[in-house]
Amino acid sequence: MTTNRNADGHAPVTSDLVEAPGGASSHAGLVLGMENAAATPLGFSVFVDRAHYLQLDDVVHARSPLPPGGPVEAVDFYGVVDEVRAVQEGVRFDSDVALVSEGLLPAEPAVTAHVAVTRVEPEIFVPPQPGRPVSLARGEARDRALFFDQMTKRVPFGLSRDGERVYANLEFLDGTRGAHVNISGISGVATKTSYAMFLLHALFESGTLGPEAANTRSLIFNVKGEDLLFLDKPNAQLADEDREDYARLGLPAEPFRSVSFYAPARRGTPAPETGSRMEGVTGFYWTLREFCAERYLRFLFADADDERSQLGLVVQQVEAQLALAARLSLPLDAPTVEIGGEVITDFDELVDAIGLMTDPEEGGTWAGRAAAGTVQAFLRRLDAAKPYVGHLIRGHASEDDAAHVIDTGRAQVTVVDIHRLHDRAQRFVVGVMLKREFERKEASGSPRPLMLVVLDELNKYAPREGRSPIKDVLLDIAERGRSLGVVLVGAQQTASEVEPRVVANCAYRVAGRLDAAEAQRGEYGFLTPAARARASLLKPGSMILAQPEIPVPLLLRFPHPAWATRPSEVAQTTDPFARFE
Amino acid sequence: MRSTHVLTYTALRQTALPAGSTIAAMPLRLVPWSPEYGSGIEAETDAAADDGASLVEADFEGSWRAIRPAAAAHPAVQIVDGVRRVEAHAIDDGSDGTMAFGLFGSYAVGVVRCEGQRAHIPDSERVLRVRRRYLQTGGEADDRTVAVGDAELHFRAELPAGAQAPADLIAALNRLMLDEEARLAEELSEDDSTLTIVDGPLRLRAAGPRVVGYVKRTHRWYIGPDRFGLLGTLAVGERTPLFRIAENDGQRDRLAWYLRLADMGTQYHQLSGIVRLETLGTLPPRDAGALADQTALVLPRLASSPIRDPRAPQNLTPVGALEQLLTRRLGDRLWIRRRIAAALEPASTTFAIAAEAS
Repeated sequence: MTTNRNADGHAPVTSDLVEAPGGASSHAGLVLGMENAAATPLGFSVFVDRAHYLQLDDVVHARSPLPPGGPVEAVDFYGVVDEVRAVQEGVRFDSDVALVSEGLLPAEPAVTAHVAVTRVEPEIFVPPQPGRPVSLARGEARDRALFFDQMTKRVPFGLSRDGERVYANLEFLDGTRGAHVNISGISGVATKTSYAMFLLHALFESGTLGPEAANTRSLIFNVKGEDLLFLDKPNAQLADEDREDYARLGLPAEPFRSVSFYAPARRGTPAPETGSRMEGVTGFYWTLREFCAERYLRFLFADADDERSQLGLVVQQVEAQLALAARLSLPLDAPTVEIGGEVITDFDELVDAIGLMTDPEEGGTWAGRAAAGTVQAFLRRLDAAKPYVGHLIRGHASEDDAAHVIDTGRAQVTVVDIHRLHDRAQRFVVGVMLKREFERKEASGSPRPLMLVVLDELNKYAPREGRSPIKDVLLDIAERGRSLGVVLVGAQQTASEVEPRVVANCAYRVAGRLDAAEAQRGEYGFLTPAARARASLLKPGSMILAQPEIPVPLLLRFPHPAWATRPSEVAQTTDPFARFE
Repeated sequence: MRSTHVLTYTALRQTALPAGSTIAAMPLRLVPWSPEYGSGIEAETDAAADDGASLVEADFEGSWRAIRPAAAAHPAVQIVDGVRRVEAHAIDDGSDGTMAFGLFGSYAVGVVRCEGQRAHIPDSERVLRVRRRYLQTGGEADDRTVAVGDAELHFRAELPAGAQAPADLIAALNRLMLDEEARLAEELSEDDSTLTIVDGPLRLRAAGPRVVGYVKRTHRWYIGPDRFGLLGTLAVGERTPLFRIAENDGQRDRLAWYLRLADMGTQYHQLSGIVRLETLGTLPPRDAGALADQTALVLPRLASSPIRDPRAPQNLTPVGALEQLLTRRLGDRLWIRRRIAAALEPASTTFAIAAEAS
């Protein structure tokens, strides 16, 4: 009947399957041009070939010709599938599906996929022509679609669902063009901390940082459980498929090479207060001199969030007096300070001395002209801090105070365990450490090597409402850290409760499983509607990553930690070479 | 005539209702088809058979009674149908001043197969045929090619014999479609593992042994008042015995039977769910009876519901879907009409497109 075709039917339409330049591709379907599924330069639908299928997150390519005679012959469209729908063609009523199943009504399933365009090459923003073939992008075409070809320094941030690497551009992490990562997700299922640790692992081990990797430092606060206290131990329960995933990512399935652990020193002794892990953990505390000289007092008032209160003023004045006292106390290498002629040897004494010097009723002058009520409030709060932070600020010299200072320079990864501390003490430690590291970086004058700070519960430390000294430091890091080489890897359950300026400065936004209502908040505008819907379904180990160069968020997965996250996972072996197997 | 009808109806009620029922007589009933398709029943009971065809004999299968075939596996069915459309009317002013009517028409013919749990429409050029014709009442007719996007529509010229008015051209187009349906049914009926059903009275010449014509719209009943009463009492899935219809010219001798497809409910006339089926008159009556039994088994399942088809129940569900698909294959009507107009534009002195296609 081919002869009839030209006589009576349509002349055959030439359909040349155009390969993506330089990449293998396989046919997937045709560009649709329906009134309700019109092709646009930013998104188009694909009628999926019946012999193939397209699924969410597939990367596709289509080439569409331009009218002849111009300088450009054709435009290449690259994109990511963000919706797939199936209908039965030939049915009109809902009940027709039963007729079709009974064999009474002929109908064919038709599958269409919507493609969010990521890249148009060259940048001529015409719609792709309906009827043009669409193919799955592999190899170089996929790299082009996701801009991996333009990333000169790329770090694997995970695997796409088909097992291909998803890269991120180092330049948007190291401060060259941007910095900071923000991770949102429900506790327990979103695996925020695991992903943050995976990112560190990828950064240290991918080789992208080059020789600088050895000097790159990171500071991590262990805020719950003991998840992060075994980062240097291989995970005995790591499955083979996870090892394969590490291999696909080009990363070793090994624990962190260089980790130092700090836990609060036990009361009355410099030994660390830890649970299941004892060896290799250093107890940390600060000396009274350091506390006074470095003006850490404010971090005992880290929850003072009322901007109208005069409390901040009193704190500042007392801080100044303490700093002065530290400068005047001799000898200069003693851990103690002298206030009002008395040598202060522990935190309780310090609180008492501050009380004497500040309370106007006792003849104190440190508070200046602050109202009596404000001074009382200040003293009340200071007094209340005694049982929680007293053991972290010490005046009795131990044999080696310097060994109990948290030194982030000692290893690539510094884990500070604060999960057993009271909330006030936690804030104090976090505030002091952030301030110290930021000032250290600031003073060093060089942004490299990088300092990465991993901090969960950003909503606590940089809440949307109010002010606090920690929030000030975090804002400083978010806004200036980029040029100083301080990279914040922040995480929180709900980004809507975090200071918007902290989140807005993050080049990378990551969402794990989100609460359905939370996912509708404006803070997640980086998610497409389809991605939002999926965010409430994500399984542990799956994240949605939005990065500056790729206009659509990508779904990715990452393997289970290659390091132990609990005592039971620590490989029970004495073989020192076990981790190299 | 009216009285005959009412009498027949009354007789039906007496047989159809259980003794003691006291439903008030309600002689007025609706005919289910949507009015724009006309009435499905266009004939009263046959009073006389003097218009070219007549019932010759009706006693192939014993006494005149309802027959319900024994339950059996449903055979595979293929149903051939077509759609046609006038794209545009035209007038050709010939060089000698005589005026000829022209018509751009399209038709498509296809088949839907129902086998087991699957109904599908084979989509190959052999069985899904789209045709374009330019018909003219006289003079010289040229083939017309219309460019539509990347494709071309080729309207082959024909001068239908005896056509004088636009209505004749429409009839000719219809005939072309019916011929194509018949050709397709003849080809497909070579496969005698499948029951082939073709739309309308049987017009085939060289058909296989398992072809049945399916008459949706009744213009004549062919059976006399003595037998007519049985039709209203048929239950769904029951058929009448065979009877023979012979045209006067002796050609196209058919064996026919009536079948109830569906019970439309009391607001509709009892004859509403009835169709006539025909097979070749040359078939041995026993084979024809077997075919009739198969149709009685298969077709009630395929009857359409009034909510999905304006010609329910006669326009079968799969056929409705086939017609939809064929119509879609004809292309967008308005758009083709504009392309035809555009194609004629450079020679606008020769052609004028009439204002409205029928």
